[in-house]
Amino acid sequence: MNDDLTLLASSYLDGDVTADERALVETDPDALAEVERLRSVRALLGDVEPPAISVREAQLAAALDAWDRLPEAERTGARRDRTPLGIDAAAAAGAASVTAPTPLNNRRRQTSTRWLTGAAAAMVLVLAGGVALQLGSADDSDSSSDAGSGAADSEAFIATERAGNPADAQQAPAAATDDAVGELDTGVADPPPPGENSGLDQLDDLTDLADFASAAVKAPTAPDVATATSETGGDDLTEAETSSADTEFPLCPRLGIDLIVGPAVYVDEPVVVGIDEGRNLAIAYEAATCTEVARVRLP
Amino acid sequence: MVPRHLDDAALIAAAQGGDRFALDQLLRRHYDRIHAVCRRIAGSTRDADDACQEALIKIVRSLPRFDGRSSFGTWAYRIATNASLDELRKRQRRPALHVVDEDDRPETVDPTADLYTESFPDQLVLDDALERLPEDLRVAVVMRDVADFDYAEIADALDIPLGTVKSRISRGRAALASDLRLGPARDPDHRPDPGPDQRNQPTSDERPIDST
Repeated sequence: MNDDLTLLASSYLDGDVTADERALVETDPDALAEVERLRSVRALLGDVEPPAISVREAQLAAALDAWDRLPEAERTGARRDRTPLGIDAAAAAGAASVTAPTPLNNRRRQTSTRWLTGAAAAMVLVLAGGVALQLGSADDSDSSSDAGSGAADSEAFIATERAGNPADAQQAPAAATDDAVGELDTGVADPPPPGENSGLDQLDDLTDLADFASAAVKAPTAPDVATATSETGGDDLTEAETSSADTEFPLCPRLGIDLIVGPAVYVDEPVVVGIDEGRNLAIAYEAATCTEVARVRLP
Repeated sequence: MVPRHLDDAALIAAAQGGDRFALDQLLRRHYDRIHAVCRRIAGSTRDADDACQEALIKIVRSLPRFDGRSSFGTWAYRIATNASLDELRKRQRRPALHVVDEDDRPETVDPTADLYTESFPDQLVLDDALERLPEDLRVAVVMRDVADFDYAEIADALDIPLGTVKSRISRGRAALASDLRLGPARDPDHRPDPGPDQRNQPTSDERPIDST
C-alpha cells in the first residue's frame, strides 16, 4: 500500500477519478480494499451522536434570541446596501462571536443605563487603535478567523449595540464618548481590592460561585459591574492594555471575561469573579496573574 | 405561517424579510450537520457545544447579508468550521486547571456507568484519533466527510490548491484509518502523530475560512 494508491482510492471514493482511474481501482483488489478502508473512516466520521434535545433547543433559542435583538432594519436586510460584503460581513460575524446572547444579556440590557453607553464609548476609542493594528498585521495572522479579522469593526458594532444604538454604529463613538465618559466615572462602583478578604462573599464551591455571579447579574442596578468586550483586538494587546480603566481588576481576555462581577473568596483564596457572556460561564480568577481558579456554567 | 416544504432559498428570503419561523426552520434543517462539523473539529462535547452555539449566532446575525452566492449549507458549515477552529484555539490558550490523577478520580456512584460508557468505544477512540490528527488534515477531512463539501468548495474555503485538498483528505483519511486500525495495517511511519507540541497546529498555508 502506498500513498499514491491511497490518493487514488480517496479520489475514487469521492467520485473524482477519470474512467481509466476508475477501471484501475476496480480491477485492483488492493485498491478496492483501500477504498473500503477509507469508506469506513467516512462512515465513522459521519456518525455523530446528536446532542441532547435540551441542548439543541437551548442553542436554537439563543440563536433566535440573537435574531430578535437585531434591529428591525438590520434584520430585514435594510442595511445590506450600505454594508458591503467582505470585512464588514466578517466583522458582523465577529461581533456575534463575542456577544453570544444569553438570558444574562437580556436582563442586563433591560437594566442598562447611561453607564453602558460610557463603557461602549471607551471601548470604541481603544478599539479604534486596534483597527489600525489589525489592518497592519492582517496578513500575518494565520490563526485568526474571519471573525477575528474583523474584530475591531466588530467591537465598534458591539459597543454601539450595547449602547442601544446599533443602527448608527459608524457615528456612535464620538457622541457616545462625550455623553458618557462621566457616567463611567460615577457609575461604576469601585469594588474592594482582592486582597481584602473581610466582608467579601465566601464561596465554598461551584454552586456558590454560580449563585454569586448570577445574583450579581440579576441585581436591578448594574453600575457595580464593569463591562467590556473580551477579545479586543486579538492577541496583540496585553491584558493590562485591555483592562477596564475604571476597575481595579483586569478583564483577562484570555479567560474570556466579559463582565466583572466583583471580588470574593473562593475556597479561602481571594479571587475576582467574572462572567464570560458568550459561554454563559462564571469564572473565578486571580486578578494579579489572570489565573483561572474555577469556572461554572451559570444557571 | 411558513409551509414546511419550502426550500432553503425560500426560507432565507422569508427570514430576511423578518419571518422568525422561517429562520427557525432553516436553522433546524441544518442544525445536525452544523453540530456534527463542530463536534468533529472541536473535539470535546463541551467545546463542540460552544462552537455550535457561536456558529448559530454568527449565522443568524450574518443572515441579513447572506447573498446566496453559495448554498446556505456551504455558507453555514463554513461558519461552523470557523467557530470550531476558534474554539480549538481558545482551548489551546486556556490554562489547564488541574492535572487529575487516576487515584484522584471520585468513585463512580453509578456502578453501571462504566458499562454504559464502554458501549461507546468507537466514539471515544475516534475522538482521540481526530485529536491526534494535524489540524489541517482534520479540517479537510471533516469538511469533505461530514459537511459534504466538494473539493472545489474546500479549496475555496481554505484558499489552497485543489491538489492540496485532495492530498490532505487522502492523508487524513489514511491516518485515521491507521489510527483506528481499520483494514490492513499500514507503515507506522505514516501515522501523523507529531506529538503534543505539534498537534493541532495549523500549517503555514492555512488561513481562516472566509465565510462571506
